[in-house]
Amino acid sequence: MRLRDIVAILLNIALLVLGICWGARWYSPMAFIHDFESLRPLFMLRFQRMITAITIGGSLSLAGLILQAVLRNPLAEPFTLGLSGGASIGAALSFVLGFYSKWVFAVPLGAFLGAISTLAIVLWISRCGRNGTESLLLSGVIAGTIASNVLVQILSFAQNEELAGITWWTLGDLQGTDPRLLWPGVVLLFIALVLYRCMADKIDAIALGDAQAFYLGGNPRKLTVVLVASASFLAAETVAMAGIISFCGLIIPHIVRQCFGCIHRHIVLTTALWGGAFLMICDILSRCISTQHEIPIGVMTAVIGGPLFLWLLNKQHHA
Amino acid sequence: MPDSPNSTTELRADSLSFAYNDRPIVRDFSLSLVPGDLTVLLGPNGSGKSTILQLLAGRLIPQNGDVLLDGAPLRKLSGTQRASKIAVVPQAAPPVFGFTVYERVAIGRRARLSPFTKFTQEDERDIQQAMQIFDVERLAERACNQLSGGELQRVMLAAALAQKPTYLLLDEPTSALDPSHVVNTVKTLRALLDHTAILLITHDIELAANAAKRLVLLKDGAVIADGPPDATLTPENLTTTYDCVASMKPAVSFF
Repeated sequence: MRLRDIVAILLNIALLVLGICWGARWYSPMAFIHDFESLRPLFMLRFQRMITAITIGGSLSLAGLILQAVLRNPLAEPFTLGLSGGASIGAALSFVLGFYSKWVFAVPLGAFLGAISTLAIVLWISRCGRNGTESLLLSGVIAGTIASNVLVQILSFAQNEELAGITWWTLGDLQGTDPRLLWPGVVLLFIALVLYRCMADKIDAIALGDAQAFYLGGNPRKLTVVLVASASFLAAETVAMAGIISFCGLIIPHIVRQCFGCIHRHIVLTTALWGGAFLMICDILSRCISTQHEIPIGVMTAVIGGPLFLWLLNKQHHA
Repeated sequence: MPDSPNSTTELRADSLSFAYNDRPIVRDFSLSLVPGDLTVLLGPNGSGKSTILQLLAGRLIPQNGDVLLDGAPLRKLSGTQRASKIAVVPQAAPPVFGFTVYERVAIGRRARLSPFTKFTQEDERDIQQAMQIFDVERLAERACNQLSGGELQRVMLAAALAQKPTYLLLDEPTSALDPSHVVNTVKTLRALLDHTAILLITHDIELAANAAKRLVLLKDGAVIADGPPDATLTPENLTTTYDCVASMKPAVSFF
């Protein structure tokens, strides 16, 4: 393991501890140790929330890293392909149609189905591998736009109490994550880390172009389908867990590439760790800026990530 | 650097034909490459040179004929088997991401290795040697997307060399190089011929005349002339190939 990954793991642990201690009310680590039994519910609540942040931040960042490499576009992320839009329709339908109240996995299943359907439509429109990256991205943007309008229509059918929940969820919300969805999400992130580490050299090659990927021993069409589909699963899982969280999948891979280079065998784990750390920082801030009204994490990632991304773009332009 | 050839070492194209949307691009083309060969394809735009290169590399499947790599049909070999024998330098296009020169050359080398294999000292030595040969060692930490066209071509040549191929297929690898680097590239390619077969596509007739052991003139996907440069580069053949009157005037030469 590289030194930078050890540093990132230590940073994640430090933020995990900070996130457990800091909230509407501060409890020191010693308070949790001395009076654990009475603070156990609060500890579990905050611990689960921090693990959710790590999982979603890692998943979104990895999905962004992979989509950017496959599409050879530093601006690609799960949302660029319209995947989050499709996933949010599937998840919202499972809320509105009452499937969620009967079976908790109806939400991720709906999100997966929504994301897969959107992916199939996007790939079909762009005829992936024949018309190239531009048509794939354009198809994704169109699909995302249609999805956001359909989501608004679905919200108009929702009952009042459902409407509040779904609206909050569309803004990105770690607070309401169902604990039964968390551990499958952790397992999925771990599987993705192993998969992408095994395929890292092929990802490098496809980042150079379909022709180079072929000449270096890969099958660009098969690689594109496997990588885009797996990144879509990661994105759909995050939407099912916490709604739409923007910029994390865009900005973290960008920062990691600038700091640590572009070789994927070196940056797959780093990207996931930095994504987890970024989302924990955003979550801690969202809880601490206002103790009266918690800021949705999707708003926080946009507020922090947007200007940061513009600054990075500007810096790159002048380099 | 490359492996020693064995007696069946041959990249062979047998009567290849290929068409895009019923428009014939390559007609009944045959070629054999064995280590020691430096074959140059010469012809006007759209004569099928790059298509032939892609057919020989396995990226395109011929409608008729077959490509055999060391006796086995190329289309039946795995990607790793293919990449461990054939390296291709396509026409240079800067990568979107900022791979450094060292990283880009190392990616060529990794095509031979399994996912968790670390570079050995031999791998590192070959990468450094490839960068030295093509004069990009001093650019090792520069991002490829910030290089000039000529520098990028030299990086791609170094990456192909680091791949340690038996067959090297080059699509206009010197189009952006200055004369000094063109001469150096030709010298380097000739030095590789003990263990490597090279197919070179170019529009540079002087380069073709000086580099080629065998020269194939193409027009509309068909062979106009095939043989040593002295025999093929005649005013008649060039006039037929390029549809304009050619003469063999003495000119400034760096070779």
